[in-house]
Amino acid sequence: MELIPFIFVVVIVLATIGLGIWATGRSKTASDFFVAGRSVSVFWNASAISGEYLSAASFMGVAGLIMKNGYDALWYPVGYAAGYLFLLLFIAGPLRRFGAYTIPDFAEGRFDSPTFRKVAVTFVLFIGFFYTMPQMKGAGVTMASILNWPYWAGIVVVGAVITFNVAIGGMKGITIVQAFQYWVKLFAISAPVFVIMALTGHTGLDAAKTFGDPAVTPRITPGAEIKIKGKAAVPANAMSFAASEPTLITFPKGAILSKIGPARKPEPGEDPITADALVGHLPGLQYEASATAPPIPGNAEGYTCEPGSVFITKTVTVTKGGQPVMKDGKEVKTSAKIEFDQPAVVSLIKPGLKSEVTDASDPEAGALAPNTSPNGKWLNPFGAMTSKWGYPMLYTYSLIIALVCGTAGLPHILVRFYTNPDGRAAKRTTLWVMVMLGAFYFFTPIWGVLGRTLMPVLYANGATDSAVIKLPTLLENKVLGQVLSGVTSAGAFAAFMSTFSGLLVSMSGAFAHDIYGKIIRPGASADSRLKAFKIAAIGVGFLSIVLGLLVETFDIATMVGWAFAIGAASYFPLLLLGSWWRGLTRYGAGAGMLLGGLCSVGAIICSMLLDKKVLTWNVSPLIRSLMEQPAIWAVPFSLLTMVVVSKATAGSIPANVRVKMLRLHAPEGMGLSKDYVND
Amino acid sequence: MREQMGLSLKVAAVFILLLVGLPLGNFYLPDLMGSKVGGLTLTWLILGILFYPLTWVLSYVFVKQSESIEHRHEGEF
Repeated sequence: MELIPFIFVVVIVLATIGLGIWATGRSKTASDFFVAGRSVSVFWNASAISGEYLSAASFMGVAGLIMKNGYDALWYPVGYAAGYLFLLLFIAGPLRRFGAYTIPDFAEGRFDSPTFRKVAVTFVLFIGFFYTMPQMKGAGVTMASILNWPYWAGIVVVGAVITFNVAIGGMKGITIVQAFQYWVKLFAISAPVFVIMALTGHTGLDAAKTFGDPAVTPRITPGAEIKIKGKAAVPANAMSFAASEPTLITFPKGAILSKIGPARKPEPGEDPITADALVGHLPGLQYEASATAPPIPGNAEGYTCEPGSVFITKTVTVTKGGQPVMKDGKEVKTSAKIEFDQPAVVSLIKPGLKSEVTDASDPEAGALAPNTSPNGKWLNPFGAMTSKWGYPMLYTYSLIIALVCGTAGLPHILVRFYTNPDGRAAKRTTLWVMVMLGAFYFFTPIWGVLGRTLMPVLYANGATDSAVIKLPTLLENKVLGQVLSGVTSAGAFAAFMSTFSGLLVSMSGAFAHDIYGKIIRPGASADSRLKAFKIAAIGVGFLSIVLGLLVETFDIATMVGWAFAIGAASYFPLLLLGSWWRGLTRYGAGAGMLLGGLCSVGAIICSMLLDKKVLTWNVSPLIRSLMEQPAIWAVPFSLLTMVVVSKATAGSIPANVRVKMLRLHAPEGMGLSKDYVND
Repeated sequence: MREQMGLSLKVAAVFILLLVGLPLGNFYLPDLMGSKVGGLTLTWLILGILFYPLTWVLSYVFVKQSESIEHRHEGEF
């Protein structure tokens, strides 16, 4: 266990609890609890919104995605930050002026329909839980990687601390905590970058290393021991090797494989490639690479490598009916993709080196990093991530729509806008949020580039997510490295603590305010609703911990993608049309929200099941691309459904729709807006 | 409201033009977007760095204009 990072994590957890308790003394009324008394200043509210928004996915995941996918992944930070512009232009002001506590309040108040409140509450909880799961996974994984805790321990500790904090402090408590955590995160993502750049001499712009020769693939430190995950971690149990040069793979403790196949996905009609064509198996390093190797049967399913045995990867020309497949006038070549059945340790060496002990100071002696492409493909747009299904432009645009519209449809962020004193402050707050988020996300690509330049070994076992935690440990001054790793660990912790707090408040608020206070006991007093909030917080917190324990094998980015896709195709259309189009009816809004939200969830879940080979449909790559990134059709579909159904049910437009529109848009100075709930 | 809506749509149009335009530029003008600017390629410079201040300017203009519209209308009622 690393002591220094552990101390940093303990300090951030204690500071969070302490601030929460301190703030509780100032949290008196129900209004304080739900919306912090609507008295938070623009600057602090913006800090709190930014603090709440920057989740584990942003803190660790974005840098990792950029390290893994290069340019294409730059759209993530830009989309996460720029999504607020749509929120500012169309939603922030009207939503605050309408004076409701929650989105379900808006749904009911705008359409005079208690039924619609129920639909809206369901979606708050649905998106909330989908967004909670990756946060929980982030907590478990971070604790596992820095402190060697078991996966469940991190989740239980973080979950319990935050639940306690929210239950005693409510929204006012967490406003201060989250504002504080924004500044912790900004410091943690920025300060170590400067130190690393100063001490290693790498600015990330190093022409020769990353932005130089497009044909170069980074080399990993010779002889580094790489821990590989087993089948339980699909797809992180695979290593895809470069075709440009063979790699020697040693298994010091042996390994059990689940498959050896070609690294390049075969196209229909191409000749199958067997495991034996892709790798040679040497009984030990004393054999020359050219020595006759014992053949590996079939596709190496269940194949056991003895301790000390060595593989050498081969370059294979892809053929179709015996003829080489050509692309751009060149033969298409591939090499091996090795999938592991059980966790194993491997070490990678460049052939020609007979000893495991090699000169680590010679960077050219290392093997080419597996699981990544040469610099050119990484650096340029339309790389591996967006070209996955052969429709890179479509994929890019769909991703942009999901990120931009999804940001404007996350209920735990939207609830924060009610903590502004008025619509004008809501707009100014959004402007500040964009500045604060931009300042934070600006650093994520630098981490990604530094990770590729300085620590390509993270590619080998799919550990790019931990780049932010691991990079500081490269420094020659070990203590300084540990301190900086402690700073980033504390930042990562602040990230999932603040996002989980926000989710917990919005979900507990939905239970206490919308389900208990409006549906179960409509006349409940402020005090009993406050009690319901605390009970709900504990219940939701417990359920989140349980859900977190169940999602260990799911990808953080995938789960966040679900939440964004649901938000983009359900809440965003509701808020956009609800604020600006008086012809919207409750039937139209409800139908669009349900159909849009459910269709995108369905598409994403099917896509995931196809990935995991649970479903074996034969889907064309175009459809497959649209399933994985559904926003490009789901958002217009949801909007269109709202318009068409509203036109068909025009009779149910609320009679006082003009008054409602005035309340949404008239400046406070005109005295037309009144708070929906007065406590 | 109509005036506010017009302002929102105008700012949104600029923003959408940026979002739609950048991938188009990357696709049809790869040499221009790949040209080196201070160690980075042009498209990295735009998406990795310049995009943030651009959205800040757009939001600032929007907030100022929107407040002045509100200010004008408050007097009318």
